[in-house]
Amino acid sequence: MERRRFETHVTSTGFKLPSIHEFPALFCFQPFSSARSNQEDIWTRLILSYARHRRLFTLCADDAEKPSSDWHEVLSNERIKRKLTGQQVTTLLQTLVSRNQAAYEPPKQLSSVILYWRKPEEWAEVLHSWAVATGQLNTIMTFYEIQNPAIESDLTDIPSGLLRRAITILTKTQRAQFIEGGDGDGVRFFSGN
Amino acid sequence: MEAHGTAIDGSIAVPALLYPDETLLGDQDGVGLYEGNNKAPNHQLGSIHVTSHRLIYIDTIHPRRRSLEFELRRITQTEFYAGFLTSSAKITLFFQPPNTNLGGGSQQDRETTFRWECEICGNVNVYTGLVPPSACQLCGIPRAANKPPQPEATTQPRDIPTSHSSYLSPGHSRSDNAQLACSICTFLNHPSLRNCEMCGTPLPKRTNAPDALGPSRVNKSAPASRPSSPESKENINILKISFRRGGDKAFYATLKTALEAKVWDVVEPQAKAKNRTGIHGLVELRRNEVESTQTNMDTALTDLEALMNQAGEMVALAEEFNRVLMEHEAQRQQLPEDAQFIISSSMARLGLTSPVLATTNATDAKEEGWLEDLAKQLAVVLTGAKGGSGGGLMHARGMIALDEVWGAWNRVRGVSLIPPSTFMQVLPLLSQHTNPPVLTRAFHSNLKVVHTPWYSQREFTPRLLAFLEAAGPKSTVQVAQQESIAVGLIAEMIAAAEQEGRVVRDEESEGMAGKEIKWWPNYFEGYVWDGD
Repeated sequence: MERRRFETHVTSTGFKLPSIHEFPALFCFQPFSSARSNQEDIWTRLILSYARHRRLFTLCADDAEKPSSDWHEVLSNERIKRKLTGQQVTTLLQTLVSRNQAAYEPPKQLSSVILYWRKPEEWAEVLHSWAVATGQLNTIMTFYEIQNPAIESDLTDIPSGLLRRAITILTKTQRAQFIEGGDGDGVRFFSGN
Repeated sequence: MEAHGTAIDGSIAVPALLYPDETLLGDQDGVGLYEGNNKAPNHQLGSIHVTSHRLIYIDTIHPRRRSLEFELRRITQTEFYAGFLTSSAKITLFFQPPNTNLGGGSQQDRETTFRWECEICGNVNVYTGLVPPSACQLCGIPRAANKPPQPEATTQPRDIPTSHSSYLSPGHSRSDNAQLACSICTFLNHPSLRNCEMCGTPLPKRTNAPDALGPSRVNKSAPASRPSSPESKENINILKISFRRGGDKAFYATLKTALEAKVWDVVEPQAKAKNRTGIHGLVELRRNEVESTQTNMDTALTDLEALMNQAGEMVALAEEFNRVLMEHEAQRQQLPEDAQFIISSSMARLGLTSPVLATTNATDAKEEGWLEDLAKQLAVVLTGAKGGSGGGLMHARGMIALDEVWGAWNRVRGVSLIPPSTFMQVLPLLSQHTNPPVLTRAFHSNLKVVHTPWYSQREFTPRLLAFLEAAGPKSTVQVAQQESIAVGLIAEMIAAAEQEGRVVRDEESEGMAGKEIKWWPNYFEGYVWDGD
């Protein structure tokens, strides 16, 4: 029998999968804790880095089952004929949330999360520096303007929930203010210190 | 006709005439009866029915008065005459002489029918067979509590006094019918009862009179006194049935079947009639149980003691046998090599070279030495005799489950078996008497085994990892083949390695035979991230 050397693999979206992704045991959750925590480390890191690469904000349990999903090339490995089940992804979501690397979105369900490949605090900084850089201080902006700016930014398509959380962090240091509007929420940024 | 037939009321439908254990097999109408060669004038038109026990002739003209029944068991021979021209087909039946005792030495004659009325519920019980039912068919009260049978038919039990003077009609009040007081519960019982009505205790026997409630002597058949002509004496035992409307062949076949079946001879093995009612019955039942238990225990203990006594002799005998064999070493040289091996190794295998007997009076001081001896013996069983040709239980196997070892050891001992508790005491001593030491191990699942050092986890895990590295992922069965150990045991070993985080599992999701787990070395450990 061959002693298989695992190799990294670059996907069609340009993501370089780690060599461990070819290890079949990665797709079978280990029953004993030492191997299991190693396995979970690998999965959370893989998910977050892939999310950062593709700018994916959400992960659902369904993503494992749908070949059309953005996550398909990570959650399954057709070269070794292995894939995660929805059940396993749900378990991973739980792990991510417990490690504060994701939050259930919408809350009070267990099958879909917002991934924190940047923490809300980091997003707050990104948001503020973007506002400063594009000269949006002291003007009122809608969420839509932030999510769909004329020039693409890091904040393009950021989910409203995450955006709201980042703004909430900024309001604590008086660098932003929520504006209650009739047709959608708005925000006003301040320069701060 | 009356010699063999009994008058019955033919106006009743035939199925209603049948007794509970009797079945109707066939019938034919348009028949007439002959006594010997002569027509029986009163029985010339009727239907004949054959049942499992009887032939029943129902007269068409006067069913009430002229119907007859014949018992099949009295028929000794049958003949069939197919008929010729105007002569109808006939079946000839040869009967035993009417006063022949058919009971085969039984005290009771074969009374045709008994009817007795249950005193408790008034149900009229009817039976025909040899063995009267022991209890009322309706209420289940034993017949002993009822009156003795009152045969209404031809004959009666012979042991009943025949004196007509003692006959009293049932219900007639007797001068000596003082009620009997039960010795236990003092209930005043009806004098005819044998057991107390309340508690079932046997009542004291009445000494003054024979069983005065004997059966009525209505004896309809009177063969001895019956006047008969000389020629009818010959023909008295012959009955012919003439089939004037055919159906003779089918009827004859049915009759033959019924005669061959001899349903009346088949007596069901009846359970020993016990009086199970009342306090007396319960007390008796309990006493019987205690007695039988006691008997069983005594027998068992006697056997055991005898066995213990024999054990020593058997061992001495075996040793003697072995010694003689050794003495004849010279002669044995001529034996083929195989035979020599079998003789010598079988003795070693039997463990008879140094048998250790379980002694019941072993003191604590002795006990330790005894356990040592047992451990030595077990060591021989497992690893073979010292310097011998090997052949122990672990000769080819490195790991054996404890239950198998225990069973094998006791099989070798044959006598004076070792209980599991002692076995467990011996096990820790085992490693001192074996080389290489035989170790004991309990797996996570509580399965206990003995194994050689080669199969300790410390040796096994690196070996397993090396095997997996070299040969790729393997299933449990493949590892078991590689290690030549039972699959169940290797599964435990791998599970232990998995628990230590040395191997990881990969479940192949879509296998032909369900899921199969392949084992991999734990590549998670020490993995350095090499992706994005």
